[in-house]
Amino acid sequence: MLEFTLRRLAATIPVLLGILLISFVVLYLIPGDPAQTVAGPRADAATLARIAEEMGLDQPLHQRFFSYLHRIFKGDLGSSAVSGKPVLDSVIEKLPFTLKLAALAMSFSIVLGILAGIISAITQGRWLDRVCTVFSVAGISIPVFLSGLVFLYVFAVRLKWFPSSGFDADNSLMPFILPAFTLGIRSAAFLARIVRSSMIEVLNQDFIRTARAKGLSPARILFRHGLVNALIPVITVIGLDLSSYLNGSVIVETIFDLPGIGRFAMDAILQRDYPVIQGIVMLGALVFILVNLLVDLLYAWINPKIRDEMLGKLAR
Amino acid sequence: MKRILFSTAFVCIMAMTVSMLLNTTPAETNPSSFKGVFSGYLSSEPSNLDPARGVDVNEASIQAKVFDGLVRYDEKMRLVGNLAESWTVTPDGKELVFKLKQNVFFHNGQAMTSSDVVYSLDRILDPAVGSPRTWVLEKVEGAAERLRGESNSIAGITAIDDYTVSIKLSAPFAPFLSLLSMPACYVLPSGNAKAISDRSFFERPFGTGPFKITERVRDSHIRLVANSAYHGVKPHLARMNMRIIPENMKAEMEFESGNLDMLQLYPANYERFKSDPDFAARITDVPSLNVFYIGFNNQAAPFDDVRVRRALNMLVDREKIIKAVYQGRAVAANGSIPPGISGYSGDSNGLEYNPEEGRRLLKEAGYSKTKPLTFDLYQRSAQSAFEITRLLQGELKKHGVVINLKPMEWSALKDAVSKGEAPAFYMSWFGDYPDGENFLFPVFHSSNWGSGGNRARFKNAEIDSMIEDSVKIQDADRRSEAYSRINRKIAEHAPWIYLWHASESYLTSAKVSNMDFSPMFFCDNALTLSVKE
Repeated sequence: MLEFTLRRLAATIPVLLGILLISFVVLYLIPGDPAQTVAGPRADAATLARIAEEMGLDQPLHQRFFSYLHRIFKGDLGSSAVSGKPVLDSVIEKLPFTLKLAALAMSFSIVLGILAGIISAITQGRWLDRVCTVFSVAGISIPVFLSGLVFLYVFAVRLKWFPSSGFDADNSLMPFILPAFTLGIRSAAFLARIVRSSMIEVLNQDFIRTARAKGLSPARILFRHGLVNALIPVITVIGLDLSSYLNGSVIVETIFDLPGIGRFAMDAILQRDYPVIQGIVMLGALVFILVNLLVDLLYAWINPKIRDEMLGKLAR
Repeated sequence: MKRILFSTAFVCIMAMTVSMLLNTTPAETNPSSFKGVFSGYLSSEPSNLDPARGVDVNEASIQAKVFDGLVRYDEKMRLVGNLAESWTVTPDGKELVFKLKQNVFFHNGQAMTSSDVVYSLDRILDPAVGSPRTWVLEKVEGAAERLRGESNSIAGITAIDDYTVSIKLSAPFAPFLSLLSMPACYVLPSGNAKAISDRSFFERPFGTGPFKITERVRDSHIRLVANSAYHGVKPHLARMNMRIIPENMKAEMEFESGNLDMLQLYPANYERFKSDPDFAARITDVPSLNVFYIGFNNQAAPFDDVRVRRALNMLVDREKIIKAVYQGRAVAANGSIPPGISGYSGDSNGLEYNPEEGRRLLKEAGYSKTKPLTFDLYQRSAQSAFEITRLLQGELKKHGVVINLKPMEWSALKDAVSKGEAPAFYMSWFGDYPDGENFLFPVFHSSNWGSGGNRARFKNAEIDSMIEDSVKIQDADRRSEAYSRINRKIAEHAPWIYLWHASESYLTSAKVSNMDFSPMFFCDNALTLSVKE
């Protein structure tokens, strides 16, 4: 397991470097002069040149990339070109909102998704399964901006069960429930489909029949033998969702007024705030890499066969 | 073991959720003589509350409440003293002497004196600040040297004593007072120079203005409370809660559920509110200082031919489009200067809708059914731009003109236009200060080609010198007449298709009265606004 963990960790380094390079080059290729954005519409050529110099835009591309890498390794993500505030400080300020949202959305998604998946699997083909299927197809198909606005209108504006924004979010989880539900329902629907199909597959296997023949209780068969063996694809989906939630959800954060990472990133992109965009892309990539690493480690732990496959030991 | 794993993950997530409950906010004190709380919103985070660095409407609307300048425009758009009690201008128009009010205090209790004024204005030109607004002071003596870093202070701005400031200009420039009302020229406390220079001051800045910032959460909200020590007529309001709501539909919901006192209306929701008697009476249409236009690259074919430019002006039925897209909330433009400021006149410019004459001119310029005028129209790839350009495309097609729309992302569009790559482009110009000069010099003087504002690459020596002469006229009425003549003269060359000056519409809650809907976004410091408790 240690060898696996180390190897897996080492493999993340080239990925991270690649992401840094790609994000750097893509930003460079986007049209629009960042100095002009900072300077505003009436700036003269001298002002533009000065700002460009301050932002390091006058240096050749490779030099800018290396000085960027150098700073990153020192733990300095730079400061916003617009507000002058260090990127890391801003991220830390916004992280609680995104974390709360991600955690709640994940909880909704896991509880609802797995429950609906199991119900569907054991009532396969009957009306309860059909109801679950209809809901999960709807959940997958309805875009978040629509369901978000509908929930907002119904539960916050009309029924007033929840606050409509994170404006007074300081001391309560209430403002996060609707956005988390909006976000979670989509992956819950997806999860339900996955759990259903992998449960059905597992429940039809020989060892389950053996377990039944042994006279084990249906609950024990379902959870101890069925669900655990159906977990691998489920963990993959949860991992992917978690990564994307942790990177902020622009639409949900915008609709529900939550000052999280997603909106921060969006603002930076619209303002051509290079240091912020680069910082967020890097941190976002880091989150994806770490969550993926965690998922891989979970696989290996749950199923040693996978670990051996990844280490190439089976071939030996 | 695996079941433990699963439940551990679940417990972890739950624990994370619970542990992230934050502390409560401290209670705010409510000045007793002030009443009511205004709940407003901004459409984006005011990233920069530094007056010298801000360029955006949302930034200015907060700055205007927190800071003061030497002069300001009041709710009737008259230029009045603010931190300056009075001022004199020498007969040659080259020196302005301001007498400052005494007993003005910053929100932290420091007294405001002339050294704060000199410090704040000098900062705009300080090369270390990198202000995008250096042009505001470019007419001040010694500005260029200061900007190049050749001197440590600006020669033309001096404190004569604690309450007298002199500003010397290198040439007479009558609109200068108007420029001094801009947010860039707001006065900062020089005692906080260190925090100002490392920019930490601007997380929660303070000035001498009618409101103080008590709380700020980026991308969420800014809370302001009335400044009980304000030097002018005190505000009525006790507090303002300004939220950041980028999504129009969200703002609309919040307004309807009573969480907002003001809502900016868009074509999409204007009809609905206007037709509802509950709301209609509370809608205010505010003519705003702007001009929408189709710019031509005046230096390149086919638009280097004045006949083509004039013809296209005559082929556009502005009133029809204003009715269709703006529900009538715009004024057809007969020049670049909008109504409400010096230089505007409603007289004809000879470019009104006249399809016969327009077609005749096009024919004269060599275009026909078999050889139609065809060009690319660059525009923003935004719904609001398409609404206009598609209509124009359809209208002009009837007259045998073929337009290909080139939608682009905003920065890319500005780039293409500045470099002269766009033969024609749909854009707008919003005033930076309420003086007619702001709609002439930046957009049509040949020294401002490209990103300077003259995107149409218009160049005419006669117009250049007319503009230069007009700004020397100190008498406001005579200067206004001069602007008017220039506006008319430029229209003869038709460098743009002049489209319209659009209004903005706001809906207020029943609790709100006396809201100052200024045509100039930074003029509203909420002094008159009151909200019933």
